[in-house]
Amino acid sequence: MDWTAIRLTFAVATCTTAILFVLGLPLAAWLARPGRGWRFLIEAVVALPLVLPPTVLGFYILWAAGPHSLPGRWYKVLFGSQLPFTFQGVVVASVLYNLPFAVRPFTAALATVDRKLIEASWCLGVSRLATFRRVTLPLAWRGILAGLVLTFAHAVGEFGIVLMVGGNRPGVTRTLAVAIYDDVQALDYTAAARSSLFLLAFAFTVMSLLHLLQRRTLRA
Amino acid sequence: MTAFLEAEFERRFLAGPTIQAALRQSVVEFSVTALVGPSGCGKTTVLRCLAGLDFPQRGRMSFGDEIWFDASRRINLRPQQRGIGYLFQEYALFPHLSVFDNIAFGLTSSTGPRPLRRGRRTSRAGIRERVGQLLEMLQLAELEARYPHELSGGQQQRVALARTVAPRPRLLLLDEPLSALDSPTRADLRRELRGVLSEWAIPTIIVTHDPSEVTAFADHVVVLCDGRVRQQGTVAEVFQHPADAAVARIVGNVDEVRAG
Repeated sequence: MDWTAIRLTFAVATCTTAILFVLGLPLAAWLARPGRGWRFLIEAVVALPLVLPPTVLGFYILWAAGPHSLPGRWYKVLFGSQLPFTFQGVVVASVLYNLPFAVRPFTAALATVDRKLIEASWCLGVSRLATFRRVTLPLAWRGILAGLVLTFAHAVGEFGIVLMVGGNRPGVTRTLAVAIYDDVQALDYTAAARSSLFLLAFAFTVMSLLHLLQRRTLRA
Repeated sequence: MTAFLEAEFERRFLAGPTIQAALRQSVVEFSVTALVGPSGCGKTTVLRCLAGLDFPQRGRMSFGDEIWFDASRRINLRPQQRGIGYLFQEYALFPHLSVFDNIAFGLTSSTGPRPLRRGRRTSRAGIRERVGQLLEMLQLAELEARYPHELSGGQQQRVALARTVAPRPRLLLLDEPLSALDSPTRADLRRELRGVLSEWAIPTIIVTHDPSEVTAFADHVVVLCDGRVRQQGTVAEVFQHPADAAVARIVGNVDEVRAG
């Protein structure tokens, strides 16, 4: 078993999930608010990775993070290195590519909370942030948890964008999905079969948990 | 010196009629003003604007010498800053909290209405005492550990009322407080509510479509029809001398009360 790749894969997935929890929840809270306007444009941007080939997003990330672009130069000034072909680069790419897998379930979960309850809390003098913590989160946590689980599982299975932005550096950017591709190229079918079976078992377990969680939500 | 809640505003919608409201309510002496009118005439919109949950396009609202809303000066206080209590038509109890925690909800925040809090949190013992007092007054003492879905409609209504008054709001806004109840419970609570309100002595504005509720609780009445105030005055004035046929139709259906 390729334990280095497994450890790296779970490290990428954990970072991705944590970052999307912190960044995705406020974004989802904003998207779940009632009202129309131009919000559909942001929703479309969030949903883009569902239909965009990972190579396209990967290409733009490489272009934006490259030494000739402004964000790339800022990153170099701040951290003294470049983003592509590093662990951080893989995490950034993974966060962007997994945006819909976190934000869409979050938004759906937050939108199920009755608006009247939130307004009742405001009228009792409770601030917006405290209302989110004391009313919205306790009522929407199952859906939020489902979003986190889905994000984690999807990040574990990420392939195209990792290869584009991270390349194939053992212990740095060579995740399990990339390793399988590499093993097959090298005709090492035994290693590929082992890793594939591991990812299949992992994905099946996670999806079973997710559907169990959803069934509980429906009953509650 | 008397102070008033004074409101005069206009709320326009993309579709549907424009709502225009003008009302005045003493905020020092206890009195109940009823906003009455047929369904869809904008009563709830007026109440939501007073609470800061909805925003008019034009006009102003002031409470004593505080300005709550002024469209021309772009002033608009949040619901949290107005120190009001709002009772929702369907009660909006927090389903994940017990009766006790629902009632205590507004007491555990640090930003609530000023008169009670003066910038600090209520102590744990203070919360216990205040909630206990309300539980007893509204005959909810045995129910404090229950959850909203385990309560009858009348019990939910009492819990919602207790939760609304617990932080000692300066003004109560009640949206159709009895309409979600079956008629025997409604009759019981109608009798009880006026007594409870006058004991608390919090100036109250109540929205209703039922003229018998107006005669049961209110001192003043504002008749709304098609988004406009048609008449306002004391209950006796408006009910005995309706200004026009529309007002007469709205306040006319009081056989139940006249017979009793």
